[in-house]
Parts: sequence; C-alpha cells; structure tokens
Amino acid sequence: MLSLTMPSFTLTLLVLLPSVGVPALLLLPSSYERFVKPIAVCCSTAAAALAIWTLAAFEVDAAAVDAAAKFQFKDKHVWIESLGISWHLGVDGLSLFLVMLTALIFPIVMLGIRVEHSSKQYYMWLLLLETGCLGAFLALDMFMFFVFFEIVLVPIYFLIGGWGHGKKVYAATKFFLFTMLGSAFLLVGIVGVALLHADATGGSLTFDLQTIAESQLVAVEAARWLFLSFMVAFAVKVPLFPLHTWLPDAHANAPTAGSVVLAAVMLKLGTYGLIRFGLYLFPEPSTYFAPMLMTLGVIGVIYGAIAAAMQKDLKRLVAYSSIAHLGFIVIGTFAMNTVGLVGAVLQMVNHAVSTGALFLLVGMIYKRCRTRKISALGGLQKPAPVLAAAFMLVMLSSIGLPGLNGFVGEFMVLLGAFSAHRWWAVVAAAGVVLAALYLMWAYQRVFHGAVASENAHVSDIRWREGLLLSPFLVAIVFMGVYPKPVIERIEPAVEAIVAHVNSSTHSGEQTHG
Amino acid sequence: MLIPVIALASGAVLLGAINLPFSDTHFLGDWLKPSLFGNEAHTSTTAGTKWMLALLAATGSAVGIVAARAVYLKRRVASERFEWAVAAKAWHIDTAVTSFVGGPGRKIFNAVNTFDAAVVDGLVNFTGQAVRSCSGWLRGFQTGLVRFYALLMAVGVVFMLVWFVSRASF
Repeated sequence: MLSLTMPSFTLTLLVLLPSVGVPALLLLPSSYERFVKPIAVCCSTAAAALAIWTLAAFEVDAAAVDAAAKFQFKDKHVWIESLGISWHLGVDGLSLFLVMLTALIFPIVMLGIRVEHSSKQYYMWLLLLETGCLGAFLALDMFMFFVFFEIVLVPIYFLIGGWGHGKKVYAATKFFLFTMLGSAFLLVGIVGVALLHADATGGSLTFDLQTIAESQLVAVEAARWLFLSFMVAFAVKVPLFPLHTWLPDAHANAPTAGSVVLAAVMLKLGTYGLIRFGLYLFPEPSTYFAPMLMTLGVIGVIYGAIAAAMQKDLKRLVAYSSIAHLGFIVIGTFAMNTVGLVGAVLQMVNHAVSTGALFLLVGMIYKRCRTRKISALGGLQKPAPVLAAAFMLVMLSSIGLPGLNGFVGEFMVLLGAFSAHRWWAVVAAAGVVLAALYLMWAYQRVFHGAVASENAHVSDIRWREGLLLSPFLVAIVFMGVYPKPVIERIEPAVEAIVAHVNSSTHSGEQTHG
Repeated sequence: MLIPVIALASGAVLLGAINLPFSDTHFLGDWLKPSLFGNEAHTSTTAGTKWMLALLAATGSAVGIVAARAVYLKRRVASERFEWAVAAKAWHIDTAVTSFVGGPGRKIFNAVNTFDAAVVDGLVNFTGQAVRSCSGWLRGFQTGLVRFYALLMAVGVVFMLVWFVSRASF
C-alpha cells in the first residue's frame, strides 16, 4: 500500500498558502495588473496540490491511526498560553473531503470565471476566503475555529457587495447581519464551554476541542444550553428553516464565483459544525435535541423544494434547492447512526459538486442570455445542445438518480433516518419526488420548447467552459458508480463519533439519573 | 419486434434468477448487503408460503398468456370486452395527478412561496425597518446644541432627586 510521510507543518502550510497571495497582490504595482490572476491561481493551486498530497497520505485503515487521537497530520503550537489557546490543526474523515473540495474549487473558479473589474481586490478576497474556509475545517481549537469562521464573513461580504448583481448591497448586508447574529451565539457558546470545563477540572482554561469533547465534564443542563447556542450559529450558516432567508438573496445577487463558493464550501461550515461541535462536543444534548433538529431538517427539505418550484429566477431556484438538500444532511446527521452520518458527510460532498456545477451552468446561461428569468429562456437545447446535456447530467445528479452521486448520499441518509426515526424519513423521501418536480420542470422551461428569437443564436459551451465543468461532471459520475474510496475514508471518523455519542450519552444518563 | 422482446424476456428471467427467495440464491441481496450497513429487513416467511406465492405468480402469468392468445391470436373472444375505456385512460391516474398538481397543488406551492416572502423574510425586513425608524427617532435627540443637553441633564437631576426623596425615611 502507498504510504506517504508528511511533515508536521503540512496542514499549517495548506491553510496559510492562499493567504500568502494577499500581501503579494497588495504590494503589486497597478502597472503589473496582468500578474494578478497568475499569482492568485499559483497560491491557490499550491494549496490544492498540498490537499491532494494530504488525501494521498491519509491513512484509510482506522486501526493504523492513533485510536485516541482519530485526527491525522496534527500540528499544534501554543498561541496564547495564558488563555489556553493554541494553533491546533488536524484532519479526519469528516474534514478530509471538505478540505479537498475547498482546495480544488477555488483554483477552478479563479481560472474559469472572468472578473469584470477590480481584479486585484477580487482575487485578494477569494484567497482570504479560501484561507478562512480551510482553517475552519482543519481547526481543532475552538477559539481558532471561531477566528476562521469569522474571517470567512468579510471576503464574501465584499465579493457579493462589490462584484454582485441587482440588490447586491442588500443581499451582502443581510448575509452579514444574519451570520454575525449566529457568530455572537457561537462566541458565547465557546467561551461558556471553555469556562465551565475549566471550572469542572479546577485546572487552567483550554479551548482545545479534543480535550473538552473527550472529557465531557460540563453538567448536562448547562451543556444543553451551550449546545443550543452553537446550533443557532450553525443553523444560520446551513441554513435551516426559518433562518434561511439570507441564502436566496445572497445566491441570486452574488457573482458566479461567489455563488459557487457559497454553495460548495461555505454552507458546509454549518453542516460540518453540526457534527464537529454538535455531536462530538455535545453528545448528550445532540441526542436530546435530535428530534427537534430532524424536524427542522424535514421542514427544510419540503419547504425548500416547494419554494424552489415556484421561483421565477433560475438562480433563486437553485438556491432554494440548496435549502432542501441541506435539510437532508441535517436529517442524516441527527439520525445519529453510522449509515445516516456517512450519508450526511457524503451528501455534503455531493451537494458541493452538484450545486456548484449548477451555479456555474446558470452563470453560463446568464452570460449568454443576459437574463436568469425562466420565462425569458426556453428552447436553449437547440442552439446549445452540449450546455443542455451538461445541465441535464448535473440536474439528474441533484435529483438523486441512481448511478450518479446524489443517489448514494440521499439513499444512505434516508436509510439511516428510517432506522432511527421512521416517519421523518417517510416525509423527507417526498423531497426526492419534489426535487424531480422542480428541477425537471425548470429544465423543460429553459431548454425545451420553441427557442426565443433573442436566444436563437446563443453559443454552445466553449472548450474553456468545458474544462471548467469537466471535474464536476467526472466527480458526479465517479462518485455515483464507485463511492467506495470516499466512503471508506469517511466511515472510521463517523464510527468514532457515533461510538463517542453512544458512550457519552449512556454515561450521561447514569450521571443525570 | 421479436428480437427486442426476446432481449427483454431474457433480462426479466436473469433479473428474477439473481435473487430467488430460497436459501443460497440471494445473489443480489448478498451483493447489496455491504451498502445497507446491516439495515436490511429479514422476512420470516416459511418455504411453503414462498412456494405458494411463486406458484400464484407463475399461474397468473400463464393465465394471462393463455387469455392473450385466445383474444389476440385465435380471436375467440372480442378484444373490446377487455379493452375498457378506463384502462385506455390509465385509470385516470395521470389526469387526476395533473388536475391536482395544476390546481390545488399549485395554489399550495404559491401560498408557501408567499409565506416565505411575506412572513419569514417579511419579519427580517420588518426588524430592519423598525431599527431604522427607532434610530431615526433617537437621532432627533442629538441636536448638537449644548443647551439641549444641559436641559436633559437638568431633567435627569430632577428625576434622581425625586427618586432619592421618595425613598428617604424622614
């Protein structure tokens, strides 16, 4: 078996590499504008190369990994000693593919999508956003996670506000306010759990996620309140009903790169947080509140699908479909069993690939027709058959057609939910039917029928766009036909979390009783 | 038509054969087992029941073949007797679904969409507008005139004096 050794600072390098480009771009004289994009792409591609190396060196065999640690390639340095804050990074099966997605999607959008103005600032914000996302997925210190979680807000605010369309300032401000509200709850939760843990141990303050999660010393009642505090932050980010209204506005008014990154990476910060800071940090409260969160997930699936069906703007339709898909991830997460959780993590990757590709395709349609209004499109299949075929494949993956990636994740989520809470799974399954309804209806209205005279001569996909889309299309088919390499890397981490939840919940019940 | 029918029939036989309900013949079930993470359901049907069900299905098929031969090949019975209008219209299922989705279904979907825009998002926008209105109103107090702030301080001092006097025990 291939065995690669990695230096301990690899993950630190991976997080910081994109941000190296920020000062480089800042110091670049305006007469060297032509070097802006190559510098940004180089930094981002270097991070992607490191992420691929991490994937290759990642130990699949769970038994070979330090059983107590579960995380691989850990890198820990003291940051603020008096407060117990450290620069602590590590990767497990839960974060591995999210890191991969982040590291691969950024260079793809940088290479494939042209920026209309102020390219220096645009690429600077993208690079900072990449560092924020990578840091949040790899952080094993709660304070560090909070810092990266917050860093992410600033670049996306400026990307939507500066390079978006329509009501871009309204959308950016709404997104910022919603997420800041959630972050306030997150900060209270993080400080609260660290202080209560320090109280319980009688020792010094620590923000180390593993130390606090593995010891489970916070009293059950307090832990439940703290859990809710964390959940508000992640429910905004996912987003869960009724905290979702920032998402359609942000997506509809963001530039294509912003929409792709938002759907593929940033929403996953919420679903990742639900597992890492929900199930892992608060196993007993997660079990206690699981029915409530599964209910919100099911509402999200049905509500998002119904709202998607009625949208007149193609991009808003895809945005609402995201709410429905992320509802599935929440259902799988709080099914609290291995199959449901593996399905949820796999569905995070699937959603990133499928919805990222859908936003790219909507961007390509907008570029050609200068409208996203579904009624103004129509018959595009005639002038752009390859674009229609690509849209069809991605749409079918989003619906969950067997043989494509969406099916595997949704099937596992529903299977896990059915074992845990039968009726939630039954209602959520209706979401699969509704997904077929709104997506196929949209496809019919956009690509079939008589072609509108103004769209009769739109061009088909160009080679550059084809190259941009091809990694997504390959991933859709590959993960649909052969998901094993992904599942076998996710499964050990998920099994460890399920075992942690089960053991902590049982011991918690005894203490509580 | 013969070759496609033969191909379909062969496929049907093959797909039936890969998961027969008897011991050691669950080839498809065994192959799918790892994908189900131990969640597969096991029925406790006896061998006798399985045989009876198999026989019933086979008899049903045979009766259908014999009846079809009598009606369409031998023309012993008029085909109109079996070709009911309701069957031609697929039991009206399609029309019923279309009427529901296009009628009340569409109204429900529109209602959800209106609820999202007017109530859920409306609440968010209302909060923003309320904050803006309050801020506008409060801004009125910031006149920048020293005598206005002095007046406010004087009013505050009077209120504090009234409070202290009311709480004092003479």
